[in-house]
Amino acid sequence: MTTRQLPAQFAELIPLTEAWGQETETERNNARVTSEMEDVQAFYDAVMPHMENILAFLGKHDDTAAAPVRNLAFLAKSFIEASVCVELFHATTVPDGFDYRRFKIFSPT
Amino acid sequence: MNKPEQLRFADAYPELHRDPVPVEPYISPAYFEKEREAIFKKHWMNVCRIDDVPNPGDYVVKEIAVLRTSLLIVHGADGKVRAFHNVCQHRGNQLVADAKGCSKFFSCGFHGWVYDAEGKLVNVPDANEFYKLDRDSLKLKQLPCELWNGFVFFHPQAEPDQPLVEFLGELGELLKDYPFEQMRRVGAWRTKVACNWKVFIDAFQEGYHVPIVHRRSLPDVYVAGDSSSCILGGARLYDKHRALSTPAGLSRNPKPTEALVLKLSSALTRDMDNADSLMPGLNPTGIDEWAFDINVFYPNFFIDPSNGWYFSYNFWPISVNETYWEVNIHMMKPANLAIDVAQEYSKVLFRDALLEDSSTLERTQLGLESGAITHLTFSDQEIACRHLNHVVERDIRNAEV
Ligand code: FES
Ligand SMILES: [Fe+2]
Repeated sequence: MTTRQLPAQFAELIPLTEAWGQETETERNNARVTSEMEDVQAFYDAVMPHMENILAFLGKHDDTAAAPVRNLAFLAKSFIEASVCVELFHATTVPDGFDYRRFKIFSPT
Repeated sequence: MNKPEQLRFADAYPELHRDPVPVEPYISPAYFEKEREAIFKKHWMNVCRIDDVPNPGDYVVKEIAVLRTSLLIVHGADGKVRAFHNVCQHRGNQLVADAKGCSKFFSCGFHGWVYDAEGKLVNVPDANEFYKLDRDSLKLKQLPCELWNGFVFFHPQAEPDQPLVEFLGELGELLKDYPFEQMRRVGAWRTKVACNWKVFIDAFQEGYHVPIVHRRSLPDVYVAGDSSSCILGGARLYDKHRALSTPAGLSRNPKPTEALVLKLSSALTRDMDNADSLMPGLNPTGIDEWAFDINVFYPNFFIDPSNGWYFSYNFWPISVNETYWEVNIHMMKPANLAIDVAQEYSKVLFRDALLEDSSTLERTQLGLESGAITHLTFSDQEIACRHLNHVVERDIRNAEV
């Protein structure tokens, strides 16, 4: 795997895109459920302080934006996956939940 | 403490009894056969959305196990969407093998008969070897197919006993101006679960389970007032369809990420708090702290809308204790990428809450099949489950006379 480009002011987050910058829900969720909780927590902790700025920046762009901008949105969507682990489940998967491997993701993005 | 009698939903529906409901219909293979004949062969059912077949030539194939058939839904060159049995009229081979695609013609993989998008037989290899070919009677077998608000419905009988809008009735009328067309699909999930279709539906037509099953994903989200219970704010039972409204606890402190996204968009956990701007068809009973409505179209289709998003469920029975489930969630097209990310929060949380819901289904089915429970004791909050049993039972009885 390789890193992805991000807009210049978010350059310090570029190393995170290697593990957490996938384009589809299937890939982002897969990264989450196959990670250790401490790695999910570390990713969350690294991005949370930037989230307000990230959302403010993304608010000025739409899906026709250049690749680095779209990559930032993908990273933010991975953060969303991490946020429910950290803030709600305290686990990478849903505790006592239905087997996520049987729940097939067909989401368009 | 018991509620005062006059506040019970059941008071408005004297045709429903209040006794425990037998388990038999959830576990009996013979009962399932009756449901197949009396229900699934006799009602309009939603099969997909127009955005599954947006352009002329687009098609999808849907396996409908309860009808023991495969359906081919095609967007014709004339703009009409049609439903066919996906069965070649030569010797019965399944005509289209792909789940979806785009094509002007469908060519059978056995001997090469070719049909057009309107089901006409347009080519037969070595046609002069046949004694007599009546091409008109060898068209693909078509089923009635109609669109309502972008939802594609079909009817399993050649002559439905009522038009689709009449079948959707008051509940369809209520939702007719909801802005379905302004939304885009953001999430879609599919699974097969070892439970009866009514066990499945029942799990999504009551709020009683919410504080227990969703204690992690949705803590204090769908609660009424200051309580910790999800007491439904309205129950409306129609002839066969039914609808409920879910409360929202607005005094709760949002979680950190939720607080960020709520600044940008309505969310699964909380809708826009401004009731003046509610989209048409929502919160018809006007409850104060409202989250979303649960609209159940008989026999197997839910549309649960809120102010900026809706999700839908299709429950497809396979056998008495197996059901295929299709879930879709649609949201307003985002004006920018920040809103797109905010919407992802609701989508991810919704998906994970469904994993919580689904965890109860197979355990429940096993419990029912154990024989250790013979009746289901439904509360007033579970009146929709009682209503489903009532309508199923009535359809079966009517089919027998
Ligand atoms: S079965 Fe289709 S061409 Fe023979
Ligand atoms: Fe639930």
